Amino acid sequence: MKLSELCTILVGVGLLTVSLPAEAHHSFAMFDQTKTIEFKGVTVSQFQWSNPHVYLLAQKGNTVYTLECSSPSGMRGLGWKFNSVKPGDKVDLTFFPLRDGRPGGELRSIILGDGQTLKAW
Amino acid sequence: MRFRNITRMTAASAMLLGAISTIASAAATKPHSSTVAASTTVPIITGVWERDPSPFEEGGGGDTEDVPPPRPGPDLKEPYASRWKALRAKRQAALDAGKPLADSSTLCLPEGTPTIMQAIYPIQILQTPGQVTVLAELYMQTRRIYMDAPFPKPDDLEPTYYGFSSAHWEGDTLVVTTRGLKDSVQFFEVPHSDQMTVTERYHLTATDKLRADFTIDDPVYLKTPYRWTWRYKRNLTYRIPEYVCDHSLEKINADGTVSFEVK
Repeated sequence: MKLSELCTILVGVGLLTVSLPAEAHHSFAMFDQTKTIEFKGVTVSQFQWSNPHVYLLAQKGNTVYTLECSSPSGMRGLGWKFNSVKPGDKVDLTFFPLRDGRPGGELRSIILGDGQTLKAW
Repeated sequence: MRFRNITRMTAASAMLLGAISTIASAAATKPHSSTVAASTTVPIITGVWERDPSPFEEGGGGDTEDVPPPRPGPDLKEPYASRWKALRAKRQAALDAGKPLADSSTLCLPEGTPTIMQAIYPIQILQTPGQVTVLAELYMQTRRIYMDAPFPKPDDLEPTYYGFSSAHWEGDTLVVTTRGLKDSVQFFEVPHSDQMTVTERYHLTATDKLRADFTIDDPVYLKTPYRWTWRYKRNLTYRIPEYVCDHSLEKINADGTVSFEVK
């Protein structure tokens, strides 16, 4: 293959967008999607980059909230990386709470320390 | 693993890579053709494929809905039709109540045939001599389809998640026939007997567009065959990542509902 051909292919690859399907592992019926809760300046205690879903633990006062995100595949498409968040980071969060009132929910978006906003779904 | 086994694997890998490069180089010389010239005359369906449109765009799939079965749905005999409708209604009612019922995905079980072809996440198809292999991102599933392979005798056809698949080319259409699926492997919870046959017909409609026509025949459960079509587009850049389902936060309760476990 000539170098010019290779360059053409590489440019073409760069222009293609990768679209990913949404997550479908399970239902989200356990989350109350009519309520959105916002936390400001809470501390990340764990960021678990794994399947079937990524999850993030955030501490507010003496309570740890378990917040489910999309899958790694889905989140890569939203601009996340495996190391986007680290324990100890101070972040702002919005999430749909669990219907049963326990401390957890479906993370909707996060504002990182540098001001970057990422959607979790 | 013994060294002898490694040697065998290395030799097999070399053969596989050689076969792939043969097909790939043929495709590279004629990138906009659906067929390769001369030595191989079959269409090249090797590649990473995603549903087009996505399964979530074809109805349902909202945050509180499951992806629905392809229309028009199964034409089941009674009493199976009534039972299936009741089961689907029960599942939807549980969703509406915020207490979803467990299903095979709760346990991260393989989807099996033909659900793997639903491609919730992209799938990769590999054509090698004598075999077509489907590798799914979801659960890292592997489905092997053997070209022109005689079916085992019924007594030797062990029920499995993917069944035994034999394929042949009819012109430029790949026809895959599958039998031997486990009772528990159900397409959208449609029950089936050991006489069920799944037939798939794959046909490139453009260079990077694939159409698959599915037919499920089952003289025990179905009045008429269940037919539907899925379409796919080839993704030339996506690399399928690993998918180990080892961090579920779901717990199955005694009543069959699923709870979200907080840490």
